[in-house]
Amino acid sequence: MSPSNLLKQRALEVEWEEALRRATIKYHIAGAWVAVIFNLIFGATDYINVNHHFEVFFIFRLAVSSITAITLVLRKPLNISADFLIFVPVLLISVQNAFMWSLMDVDDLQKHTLAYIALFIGAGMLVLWKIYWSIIVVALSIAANIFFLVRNSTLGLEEILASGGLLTGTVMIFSIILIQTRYNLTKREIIARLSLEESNKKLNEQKKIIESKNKDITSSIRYAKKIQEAILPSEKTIAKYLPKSLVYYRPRDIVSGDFYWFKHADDVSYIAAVDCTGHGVPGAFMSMIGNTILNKVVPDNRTKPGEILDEMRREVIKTMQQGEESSQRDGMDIALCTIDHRTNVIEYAGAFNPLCLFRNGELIEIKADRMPIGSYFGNIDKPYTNHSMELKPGDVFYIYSDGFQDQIGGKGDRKYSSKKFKSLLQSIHRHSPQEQLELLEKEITEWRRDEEQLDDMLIMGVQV
Amino acid sequence: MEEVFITESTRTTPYTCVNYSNGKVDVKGRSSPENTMEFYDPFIKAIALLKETGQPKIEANFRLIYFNTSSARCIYLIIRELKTLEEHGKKVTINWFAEEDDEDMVETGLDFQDIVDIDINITKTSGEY
Repeated sequence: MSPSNLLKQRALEVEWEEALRRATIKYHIAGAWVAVIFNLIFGATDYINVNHHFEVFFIFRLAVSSITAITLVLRKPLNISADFLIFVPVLLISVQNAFMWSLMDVDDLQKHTLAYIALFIGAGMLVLWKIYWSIIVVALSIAANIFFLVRNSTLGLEEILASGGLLTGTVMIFSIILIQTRYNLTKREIIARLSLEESNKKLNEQKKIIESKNKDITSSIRYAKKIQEAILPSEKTIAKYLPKSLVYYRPRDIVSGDFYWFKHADDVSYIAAVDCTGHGVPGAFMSMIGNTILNKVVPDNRTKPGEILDEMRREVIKTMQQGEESSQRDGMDIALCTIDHRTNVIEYAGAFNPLCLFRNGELIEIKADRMPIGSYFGNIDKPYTNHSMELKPGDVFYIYSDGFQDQIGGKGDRKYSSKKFKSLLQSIHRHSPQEQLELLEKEITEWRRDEEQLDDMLIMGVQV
Repeated sequence: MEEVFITESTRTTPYTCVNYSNGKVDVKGRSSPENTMEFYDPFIKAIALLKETGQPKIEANFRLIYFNTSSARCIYLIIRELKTLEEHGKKVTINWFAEEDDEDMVETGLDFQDIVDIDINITKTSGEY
């Protein structure tokens, strides 16, 4: 046991004795007062049963009650312990009974046995003290009995034992056991309660620490969210060039590993939906890197998305020093497209994330290359495929991260799936952007139900 | 050496197991830990230790329901480690399980087959794995 644990153990020992004393003192006081009063009242039974001894018995009773009462009164000034307080009447009444017995004949002795037994039953149920008090009481009671019987009684030992002595002795022994059992139970209960209080206190302290730390971390991340939001293109900027467009953006945590990017130069709009490895804070760090690199590698003159991704991958590897094996773990998936407003041609390149275009209600899916922006799946030399097609009026296209389609929910905890996601897009693509946002939100909320959001979600849609 | 390496599944991490007495490797459940490398590093190291066992056959079973982008990178490393075992003369079988209608999981399995250049048996299952 460590010194601090030993110290705690000692503290607990002091504490439980104090708690036990507090719990028992009122019973001991009440018991002692009951003894003072009833010891006198029981004088009436002497008057009826053993009238010829009434006076001397009553003097004895008066003495016992007085001493007990004085002990009670002097408890506070003399700092008398709870145990001693009840020890006095129990012992004195026992001695008093021993004295009474010694003057009685067999008949009276039998009648009086019940009164003597009542003392020990009462004590057994009321008193809580260490076992040595019980032993002293019993030892002194036996001594007192022997003393008075030898001095006063004309009865033989056999007669006394047969007329109640044996019974009283047995009850005496049982009362010791009873007190000891109650004492141990109470002690155990108090120690259990104290330990529980102690651990509750500790838990509460820890809870407070965690709450305050959580609050700090959360407000720090909320602040980071402001920064992250500041790098995202505004709806207004996008709407200026792509008036019927939508961005469904739902970070899993406060900050996000998904981000979107927009640029317009030389009559070309560049839009990207990017999913960085990780979510939350690490994801957000990656998104800042991704955003910076996109700003750097997309020039003002016309460039093909495939080439942009090639350049982006080189930059990510360089920035993340992914030459070293240990740092080859992070990067991003992306869908990047350009819309040439002069020629109405859309070009697209993707790392894992496809482009879905709806024309006359039919889905045209352009699959992405299965290579991330990063070095973590090896193979960093193969260029990304550049796709190109002419846009027609009424076309609607989407780029997105995998967060929505991979969300678990529904019956039997399944992934939403890309198939279901594409048919969802098919069913909503003719609605206005605002309606689509609402429908997406409604659909995923119903799908998710009690399941937590597992990843960041990002869907960008453009109606031509 | 311990007979098995095992981690029980949690809300964000899968059940993982390397059994050195029969050469079985298992990954099962969902994977979106906050720190993927911290979680998978010991598992990958445990797989590497299969080299030192007398097991001639290694069987790896992937029964994943969901994993995030950064877990994908770790799964790639696991499969690459399995390929290394093959180079050390073990006969490695990789089974990739996907729920019947989970085309995305099938496709991801195929992706890993291409990326790591190792045969992966893709099996569709219905209901509980």
